[in-house]
Amino acid sequence: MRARALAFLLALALTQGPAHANSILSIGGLGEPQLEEPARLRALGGAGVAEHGTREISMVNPASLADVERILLEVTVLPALRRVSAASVPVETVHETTFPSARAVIALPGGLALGASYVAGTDAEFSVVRNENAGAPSTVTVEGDGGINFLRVSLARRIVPALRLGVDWEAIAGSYHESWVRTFSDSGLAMERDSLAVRYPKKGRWRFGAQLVKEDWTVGAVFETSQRLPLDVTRATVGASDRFSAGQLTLPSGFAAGASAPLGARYRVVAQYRRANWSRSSLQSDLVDFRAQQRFSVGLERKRGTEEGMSFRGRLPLRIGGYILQWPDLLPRAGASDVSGGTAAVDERAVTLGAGLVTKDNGGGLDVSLELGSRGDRGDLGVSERFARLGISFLVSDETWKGTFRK
Amino acid sequence: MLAVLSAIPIVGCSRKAERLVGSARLIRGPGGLGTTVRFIRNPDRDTYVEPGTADFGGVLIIGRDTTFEARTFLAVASWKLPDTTLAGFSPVTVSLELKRDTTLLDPGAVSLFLAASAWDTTTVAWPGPLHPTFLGSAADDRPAAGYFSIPLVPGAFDLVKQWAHDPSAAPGFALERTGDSLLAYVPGAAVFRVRYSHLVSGNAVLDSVDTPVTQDFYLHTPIAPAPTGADTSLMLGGLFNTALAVHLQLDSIPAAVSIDEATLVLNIVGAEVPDAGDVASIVQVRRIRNVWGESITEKSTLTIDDATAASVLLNSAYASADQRLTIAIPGALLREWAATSTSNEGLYVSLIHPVNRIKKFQIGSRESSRPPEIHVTYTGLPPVRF
Repeated sequence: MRARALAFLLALALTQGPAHANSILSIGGLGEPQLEEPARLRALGGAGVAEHGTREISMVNPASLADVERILLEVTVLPALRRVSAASVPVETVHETTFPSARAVIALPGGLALGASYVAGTDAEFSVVRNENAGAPSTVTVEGDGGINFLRVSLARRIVPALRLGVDWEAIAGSYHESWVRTFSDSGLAMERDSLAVRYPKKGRWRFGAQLVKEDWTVGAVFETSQRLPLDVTRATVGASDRFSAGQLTLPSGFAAGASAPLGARYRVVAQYRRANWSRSSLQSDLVDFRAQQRFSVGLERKRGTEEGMSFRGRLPLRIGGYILQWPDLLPRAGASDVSGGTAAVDERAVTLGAGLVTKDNGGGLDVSLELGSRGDRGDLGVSERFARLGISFLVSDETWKGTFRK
Repeated sequence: MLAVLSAIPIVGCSRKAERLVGSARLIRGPGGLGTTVRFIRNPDRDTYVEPGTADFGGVLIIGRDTTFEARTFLAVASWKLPDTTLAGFSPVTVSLELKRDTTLLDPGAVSLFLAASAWDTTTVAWPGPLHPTFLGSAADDRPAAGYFSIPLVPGAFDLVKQWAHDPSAAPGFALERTGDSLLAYVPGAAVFRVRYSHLVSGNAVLDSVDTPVTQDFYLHTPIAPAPTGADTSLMLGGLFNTALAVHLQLDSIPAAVSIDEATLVLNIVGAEVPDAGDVASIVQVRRIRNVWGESITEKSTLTIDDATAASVLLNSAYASADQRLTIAIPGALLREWAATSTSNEGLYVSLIHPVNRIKKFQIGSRESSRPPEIHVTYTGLPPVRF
């Protein structure tokens, strides 16, 4: 029965249409910041920096891979509902699906664990229709996609029983692309199809992670280096293209620190602070300013019950949490044409909850999370959103690998 | 709740309000999403030219219409003779068979002459080689399509035998009509036909041998009155098959724009306008590559691209409400002209496949109140995201 349910959800995930947007506010700036963690940690507010275990891996901290004994494969899919509120139009509910992360990990000789992953950094997908009257009446449809993504290679090892270290090398990938279609009410004017692409070279950066474990207490931290990316802009239409340099985007350094503390035999509490040091110097632009991206996460988990004779509900792990996320983008205020008229910040907050299933061999499983939150300010930005996101993570493993190197 | 969220990806949802709200958040600076600019330019040079007095095109014309007079020339590369050794062989007639072109259906008498000398097709021009030797004549009453036959003078079979033995003795032939009215024939279809009889089993049998005409064209008088460069109307088409040369200065299109409109507008100022009878006529536009002045009268003074820049059915291009022809020009051509003004030597506008060969359209010139126009509309490329 569980296998059928898992197959159904997997089929759902694989038959998704293309995503449109995860926030109207991703139309400007770098796009909506993504949380790359799997559903298990999303349900804990995203506090994963202190996670460790044979299957309890975190995308944030490479050191969390140190205890992996098998080949693991984890994929997360994220269907979401958004309720968009603005002053001038009726409230509308829309939905989309994204894939925040996927990871494969393999245990190697020498106590090493090697991982490879795809991580969504920001989501800049959007679709708008706007009537223009500058010169000749036209209707402009803009379809945007892209954002910043990362392709990450991780290496981790338990150095001493209490200390785990890990390192990530990640290639900064992705780009921003917009398709513009302009149609005119004058039939003598041809429809125009233009494109705008912002690209940068795929450069790498390092991320270093560590965890200190003392019985059920864990403290974890991650530091990530900065990287400078020269931006290359290409605007094109039929018969013409315009390519130029648009300055430099600096992905700032950042860090995350957090802890996991036991609350009795089955409960634990987690907390995390994560920061990326975005600032005005990260990208010189008249259309967006920046502040430090900060995420404050807390969570409470009732661990999976393992005692004989427990009911299914009793064995089920339950998680609840919450987070506050400060987007790095400081966007022009509603009605302004650029940041010279002042900027408005986007603050996002959500409560999270979730549960999970583990396979009999303790190697794979299905985790789900539900995030209910809001972001944006109708007064400053002209729009606010409430959202409900369902995180679904599939974890599979190959147990024949177990014990080959880890006796 | 989990079940609902799981199911939502498989059902559709409206994004109308989201798109409207999102459009307000699509903030791209003081320039907005780009301004559309429209402008109209009139030519600084225009005239009309004829393609020369020799026409190797899709018709052979003979006759006269006011200032226009035409004669057709034919040549045969090698002659075919019947087998004169056949029992009871006897030549009957020699004739020139011409296939009628129905675009000119005037009746009239046509005469065939032997040309006195050969011609060079690259230089031949009106009035063409002398043709003093009369070979035959017939009246073409032109009831409909089909073949028209001109019988050659008696004894012509001896001439054919002589031409077969020495082709230089027949350097060419001329067809002409002295009176008013015009006749047209189909090129590539004419043959000289020798009819003869011979005996088969003691009975006389009629038979024939055809010698195809291997070269045909017509010459016509130079255009009259000749264009002056200051005419208020420009002639497009007609018997002289004239075409327009138009130069419009374009230097104000920025490089980073989308071209939304690039249209050449020709205003018809005469009485004749396209109608259902012009269903097959096509307006073609080609680039002119060399410098030219309004005093030119011949196409040969222009260097014109073989490739067409634009081609449109005459009836599709015509707007009866405004009595004008609108022809879309490739935006890439305007970009090139705007970027390098010296590459702009204008456009050559011609009419091909005219159904009515007499009909000509008077286009208002830059000296008129309805001059040619080029309509250009462009919009800036998308503003940057950051």
